Amino acid sequence: MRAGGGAPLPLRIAARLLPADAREEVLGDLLEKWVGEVRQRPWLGRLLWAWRQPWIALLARLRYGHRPVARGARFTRVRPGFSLLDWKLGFRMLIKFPVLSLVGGVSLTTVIGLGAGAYHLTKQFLWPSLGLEEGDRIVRLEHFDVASRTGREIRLEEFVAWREKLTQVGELSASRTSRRTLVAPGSVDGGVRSAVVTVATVTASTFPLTRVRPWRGRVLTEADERAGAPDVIVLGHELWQEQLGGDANILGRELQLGRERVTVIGIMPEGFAFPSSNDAWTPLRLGELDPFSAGIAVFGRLAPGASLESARAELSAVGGQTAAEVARRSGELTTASTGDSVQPLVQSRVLRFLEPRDIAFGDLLGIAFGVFLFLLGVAAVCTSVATLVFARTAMRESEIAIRTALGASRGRIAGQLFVEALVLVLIAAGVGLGVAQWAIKYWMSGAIDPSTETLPFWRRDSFDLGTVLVTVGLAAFGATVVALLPAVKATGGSMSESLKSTSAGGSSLRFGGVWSVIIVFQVAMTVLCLPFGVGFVRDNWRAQLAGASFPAERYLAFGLAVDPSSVVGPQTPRALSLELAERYEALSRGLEGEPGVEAVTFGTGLPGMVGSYADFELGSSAPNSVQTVRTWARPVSVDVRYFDVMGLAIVAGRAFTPADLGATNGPIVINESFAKELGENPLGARVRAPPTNANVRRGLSTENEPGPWFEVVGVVRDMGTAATGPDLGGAANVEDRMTFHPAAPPVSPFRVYVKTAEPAELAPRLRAMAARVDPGILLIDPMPLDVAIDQSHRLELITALAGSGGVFLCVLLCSASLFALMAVAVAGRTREMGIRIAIGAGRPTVLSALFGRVLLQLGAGTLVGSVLFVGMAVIVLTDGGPGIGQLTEYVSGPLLMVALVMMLVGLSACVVPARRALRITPVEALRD
Amino acid sequence: MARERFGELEERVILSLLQLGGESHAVPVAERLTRVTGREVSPATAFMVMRRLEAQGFLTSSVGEPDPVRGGRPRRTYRVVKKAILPILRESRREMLALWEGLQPMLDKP
Repeated sequence: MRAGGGAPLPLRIAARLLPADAREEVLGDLLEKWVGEVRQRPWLGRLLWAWRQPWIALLARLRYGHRPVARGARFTRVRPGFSLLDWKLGFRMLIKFPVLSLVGGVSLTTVIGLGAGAYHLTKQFLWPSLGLEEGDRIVRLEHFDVASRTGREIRLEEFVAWREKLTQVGELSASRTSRRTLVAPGSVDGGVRSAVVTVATVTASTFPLTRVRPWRGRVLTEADERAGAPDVIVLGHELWQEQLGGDANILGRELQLGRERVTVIGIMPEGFAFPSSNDAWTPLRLGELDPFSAGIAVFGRLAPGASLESARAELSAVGGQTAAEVARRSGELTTASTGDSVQPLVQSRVLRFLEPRDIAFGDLLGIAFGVFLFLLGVAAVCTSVATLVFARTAMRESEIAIRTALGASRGRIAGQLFVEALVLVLIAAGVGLGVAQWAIKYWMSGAIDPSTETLPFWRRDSFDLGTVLVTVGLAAFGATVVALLPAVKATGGSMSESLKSTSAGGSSLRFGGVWSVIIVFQVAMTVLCLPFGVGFVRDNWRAQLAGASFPAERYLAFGLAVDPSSVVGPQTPRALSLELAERYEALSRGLEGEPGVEAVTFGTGLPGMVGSYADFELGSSAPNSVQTVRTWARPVSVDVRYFDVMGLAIVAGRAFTPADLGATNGPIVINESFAKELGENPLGARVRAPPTNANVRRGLSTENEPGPWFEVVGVVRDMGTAATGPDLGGAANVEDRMTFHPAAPPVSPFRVYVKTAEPAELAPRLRAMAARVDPGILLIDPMPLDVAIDQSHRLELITALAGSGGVFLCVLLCSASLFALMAVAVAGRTREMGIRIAIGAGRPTVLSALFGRVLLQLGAGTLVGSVLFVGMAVIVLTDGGPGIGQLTEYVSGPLLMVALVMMLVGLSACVVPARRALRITPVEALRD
Repeated sequence: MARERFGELEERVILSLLQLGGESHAVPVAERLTRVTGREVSPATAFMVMRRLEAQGFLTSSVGEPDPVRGGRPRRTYRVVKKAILPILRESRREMLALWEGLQPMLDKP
């Protein structure tokens, strides 16, 4: 372009704001006007005229700058930047560049899917919704113990009084939940299914309260609540489908529920599990129960015109009177005298059924920071994909130059590139949304983590409109990032340069400083994340690959509980414990009489299968000696015959004997991993549980005092069923540290292990036998022990697979970007290399000129990533972890390996472009 | 489908061009419009309008010799394609006259 030619600055600016083909002529016109007339005006007039021209030029461009498609168009209008052709072209590009489509698509699918899933789960956690009609008016009523600041159970008599007196809360309902054994019609021996189900015993008002109608049959009515009425049950849709095979004739049929026979009167719609995660509903018969019995949950709906505040005020008054009346008759205290005043010990309060979570400002900041980090991650991935898209754009430079020459504006070309990116991102978003939806449904179905099966009904597994909109927003954000940089670069240069370069077989597009920063950042992030990723994946795979040190396939494992309704007399925790112990004795006697059964034992679980960590402090055999060293382990309560029945070898000391039950020295057996913590001779060492929150929750200590001392009497071989502990890279600690405590039945949770040659065959016989022994016995998930171990490791397997995929994707994306960088670098320097080769330059010289920049970027990225990694490792590993010596050992190996891998990956990505560069002939390079 | 009418500024530019003998470059057109309407029109605006009319086939253009007054830049002269514009101008004038019909006495009143 010609220089300004002496034109005043504003006129030159005005010309720059016009389309390229109009600039010179308009500048000439403006200069002509300036010289001929304006220059004669006073200085202010000249100034004003001149500085108005840029604005006028901009407005003229906006209003008249676009060219109509052809003569004869009826009305001129601003055409949108996209057309159907762009979308078609976008799909064609996907097919034409399959590697980019695959690498970019998978990367975008991953981040968008993660975003959708994270948004859904966060929303479920922070802002749950019942999903019932006017669900925000459903409230729960509860007692609050002022002294202990915990909930206090509501008695039936109080509920009856509230139902009569409260006016601000209507449709008052009560519920009591228990686990029961449900046996389908027919004979148990005939192979009919039985299952442990969660049953809510509710007042009939529960159903009108939810405003949910039955899917089939009817719901409970007041007639069903009366004493002596026939026993009936309403089934949940899932129970009917999964346990009763969706039997169309189920209404009116009889089922065995614990010790009762109940008639099915209705089926609720899919997803209904009010008030939490119930499978079925039976009537709560107030007349048949002890009015002082407790353990009920009370719900209601705010009456028309009532507010939460008015309901609270009313219950505060009514609840106090009722509690005092009930307490007077039962002899309990409900108030305490403090000097002249009388303070209530128990408060009655009304809360929303789903009380909005109280989010502190710090939490909000945390959420905002998390969102920021996630968007940064999305931007990083999108930028990597943008690198690939830019390389693709560089290969199409001639096409873009010709389109520009034919009259396509910069906006039009940018619009086309945006649509092409949008096609890729939208497909990725669709797949990501689908995969995330499937993953959440799979997870919430209990297939990975059985505890998710009992999630309350308002924890939905289906994405709602909000999640879809967030995904669309993420896709738009991603498409903008992916398209923006390539579009700006591709349309920012001179058309004539582009045409010249493309006719010479080269490219005028260059990766500039921004791209160098991107590549360095990308390599650095890969170097930073890979060692952690590799370590994480290694640990999870090791858990998968580790085999049990005992023949797990020869054991049948199941949980044992008792149906409270089958207990005669008061259902106190102690009474239930005694019942459970008695029924275990009866069941184990029966089992040991079964053919093929060798022995029966029990425990709270196997390593890695159950239990949380507890804190311990170490002592020694010397009395009153306490080391300040604290450690952690998983405590397990076991039968005294446990090691013998499970075939676990005692490597030092002894196993338990019946005399250890209740022994004053608190004998324990520890596993080999824990024994290593205690030095060469762990026998006689003492450990105890300090007063930490975890220990208080487990009942191992009180809030202020440590628990009793335990003396190590034996060391058992590691079971080989658990992952490593939290020691990073600690090859010595292959298994969690364990403490085994002798116990008499029952323990909680109560898991029974039956040694038998064919556990899979024993499982159905076990159910039949349990039903014969006592229908009140609850058998929970009987299955061969090896299957149970595999199931408990499923989460680790999924994590290992996902982690492996993530690491692979990280390396793939990084190498693809480097490949793209090299491909464009070669394309851009075709002519230069041809000339160099023509005048006799050797291959090494050409390659070093070409790859110097890539090597520099690889080196800089590796260096930055290594420094960051070492910094993070110092923080992570020295904060309560191993010392600096082990740190060096841990850091140096993986880091060197990853740095080497990155250099290899980067150089491998350069091989194909390098070969292409060396094949360029001088004739090819110089043709023009 | 044939175009029915020009935009207001387009029509004024075309009429100015016709008044200037059917051909001119942007500066005289802009100056004439400024003088007649009393509202300043920039040569840049006049140029962009004529450029667009050319793209639609209502004008043709040619580039002259470099002019020192214009910093050595050539002048682009636009010419009216009468066959294309006259039917639209006729229709536009007819419409305007029809709209004004009978209103002259009202305008003549003091």
